[in-house]
Amino acid sequence: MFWISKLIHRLSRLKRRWVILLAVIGPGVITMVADNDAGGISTYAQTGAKTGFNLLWAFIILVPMAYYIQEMTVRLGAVTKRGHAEAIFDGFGPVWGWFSVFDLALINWLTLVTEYIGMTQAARVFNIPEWITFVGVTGLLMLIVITGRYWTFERITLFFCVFNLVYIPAAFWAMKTGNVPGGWMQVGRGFYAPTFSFGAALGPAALLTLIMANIGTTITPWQIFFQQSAVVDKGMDIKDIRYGKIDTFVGSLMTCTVAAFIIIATAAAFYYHPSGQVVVESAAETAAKMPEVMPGRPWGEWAKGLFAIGLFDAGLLGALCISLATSWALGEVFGWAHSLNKSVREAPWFYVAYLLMLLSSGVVSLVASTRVQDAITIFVQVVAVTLLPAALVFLILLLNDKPLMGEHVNTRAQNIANWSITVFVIVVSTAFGLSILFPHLFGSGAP
Amino acid sequence: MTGTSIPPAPPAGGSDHQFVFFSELLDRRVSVTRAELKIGKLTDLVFRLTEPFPEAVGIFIGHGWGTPSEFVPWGRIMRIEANAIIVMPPESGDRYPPFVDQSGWILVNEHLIGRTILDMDGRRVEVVNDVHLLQDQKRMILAHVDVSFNGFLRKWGLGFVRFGGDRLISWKYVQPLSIEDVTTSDQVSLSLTRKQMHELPSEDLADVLEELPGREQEAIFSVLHADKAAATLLETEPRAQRQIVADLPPDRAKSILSEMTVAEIADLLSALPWDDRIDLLSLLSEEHAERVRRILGTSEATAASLVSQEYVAMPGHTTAAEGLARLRSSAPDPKAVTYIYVVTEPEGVLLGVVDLRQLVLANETTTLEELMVAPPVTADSELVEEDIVDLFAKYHFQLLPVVDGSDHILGVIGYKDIMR
Repeated sequence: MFWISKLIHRLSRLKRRWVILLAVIGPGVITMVADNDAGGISTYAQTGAKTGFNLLWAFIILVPMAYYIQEMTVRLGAVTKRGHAEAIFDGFGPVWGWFSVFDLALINWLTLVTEYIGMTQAARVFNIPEWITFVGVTGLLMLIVITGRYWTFERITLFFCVFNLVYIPAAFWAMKTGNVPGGWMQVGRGFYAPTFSFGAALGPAALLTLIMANIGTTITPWQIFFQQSAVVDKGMDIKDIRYGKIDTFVGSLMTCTVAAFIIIATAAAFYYHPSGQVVVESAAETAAKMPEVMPGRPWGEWAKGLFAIGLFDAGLLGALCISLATSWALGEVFGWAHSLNKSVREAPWFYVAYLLMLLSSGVVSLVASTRVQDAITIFVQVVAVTLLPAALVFLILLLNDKPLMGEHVNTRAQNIANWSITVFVIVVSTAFGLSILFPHLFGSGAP
Repeated sequence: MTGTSIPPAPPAGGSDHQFVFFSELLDRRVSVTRAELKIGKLTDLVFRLTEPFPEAVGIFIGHGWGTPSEFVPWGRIMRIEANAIIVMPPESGDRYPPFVDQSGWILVNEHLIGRTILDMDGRRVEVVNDVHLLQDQKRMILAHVDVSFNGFLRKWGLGFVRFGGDRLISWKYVQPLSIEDVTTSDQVSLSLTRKQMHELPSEDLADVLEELPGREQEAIFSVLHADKAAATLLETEPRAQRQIVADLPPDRAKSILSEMTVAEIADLLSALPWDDRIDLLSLLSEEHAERVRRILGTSEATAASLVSQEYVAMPGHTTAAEGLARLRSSAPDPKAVTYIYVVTEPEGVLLGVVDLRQLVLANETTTLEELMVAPPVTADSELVEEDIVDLFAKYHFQLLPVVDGSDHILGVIGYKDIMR
């Protein structure tokens, strides 16, 4: 009977590994899921409505891209125990340090405005007035962080991450309408045999812009700062790196899967609409038009509700992570106590910065006119173009610093992967930024 | 907290004594023999650090750019009036000699006002906004520091605005934190005379260190004895740990590490950046470093890797009197004597456990075998950290003996090694 006790021993070992993995999972999944923020949902909805399933292949490429970039922050955080802002200060001096932090704070604040807009629009679907959403959301976001324990924050946030999955049933309902000739086979074709028919709704320039927007929304500067700070605040050590990598991979898989399902849902409902393609330009518009394009009650109303819940949740997660990323970075460079493991009394500035970010951006989202909101959306992309290349290059340089990283320095294979991704992202995000600033740069017909 | 009320006045030389705030004296005119003959303004007060209260030794008169300062010894002061301080003429020449700093002297404005201090009574870090002085005809002593917002307002000439009560802390409980500022020449002696620092629980010291900026943190930490420093360092939060370790000279780090168990060292190192970790590991003996590396390298550290050898074991036939005598003569670490492990000699098989309290209360001739609890609660050497945590949570022991498959004692694991 020796083998039984041996088996039990093995199983308990296996179970323990699982427990450890489940305990380590957090920063990666949260970073990646929060990446599908309000702006992201809008981008995916547009992509589905304008190109059908034909851009789905991009997400197979985006999984490793997101993984390779974010995996570096896990190693850097666990080995140096410093957040990204502090690491840049230590490694490249105050000029680049201040540049990065100022840029980050600015872009994060602007992105926060868009998150608030997303949330208020989503709540509007359920007839909730904007100011109630603003007050409620700000209160909720404050409650999540002031427990004085990183662990509590992480578990609550993971719970909200689950809501991001509502787009998966939404996609199945949309497919049930039978709009799509060929059904799921047609979806599969989007991964390996995309075809584009250009028309009034989509020119080559608009297509390029959409591709760039999808990449731009998947790899953002705040993610680098957020995940590294979270890894440090969680107290992850070198031995946790392998679990941290699994965490990051699960996260990147989740974010791309959800994105793909949003595209499937919107493509089935709008692109393949029986009476001709319906064009949408934002997530809120997508939700509002759901009952119209999916008339079979109650599916249409439910799809609308689900889409709005998803959009609200996306905005909430985005706002939470973006303002935290800012607070952590500011705390690192100003030397304030900056940890979710500290109470408000112990780390007052950390929480004050967090709250001020939320209040100011929330108020701006309430009073800003549509024109100002559009201007903000454009400005976000432009600032991202200046910060993202710097952040990525710093990241890789730090990861190649042998005295700093020890045996966790980048390997040759990682460097090849990371540099190609970085160059690609820099080219794409620069082109995207330019195309937004100068709409006619890549030919006529750009949005 | 007594700091909020006014503690009993220290013994004053004469009956005619009064309290005065430093902010009221600051900038008061200093005149020779008559109020009209002004020689300057009081810019600072100089005290000598005597126990229990510092005593004024003179007035510092600054003249601004280019002109040397003047220092009026306390003995030359005739009287302090409401709008002028009247002093005797200089002994030679028409001006007093410039101020020369001396060991053990402090300048109130320069070294205390606006600086952080440790309130030993309330165990908190505070900022000095004003200083409360006790004065009679002959002497002036530094009685309290004021940490209230009122003191801050007075400093800026807004004394008429009141904001709650004054918060005076008796000098007895004040520990200046910027030590190198307070005593320019003799850094450590001040702190050694103020032994209270060592009497604070290390948990409180840790909280204090976390609140201080780097330089002061370093100064405070540097005066702690190695054992206290080790206990305090283990109690501080990771960020402060990183700062403190980054500033430690190697020999000091080595003596602090020697006060920690292997499990504690691993715990500390897991919070440090890789480069600091390598530096500290190089200070350990090869065997210790290897054990620490093994604990750090796994999420499932076993009991065998966490054990420490700080424990007391005796054979069963030892009597209570012999046992106590052996304890005193061998003088082990006080933390290790909580339990006496009864073992066979020379194999070292664990038979039972005697609580120190039982041993103290027992008849002199009773043997440990009769006193011991058997079989004892043990941790198998293969158990991993989580299982040991469960054992501690269940039995509430301070130490757990670790045994191998045939009950040989390998060492002990302390509650603090593992319950963090």
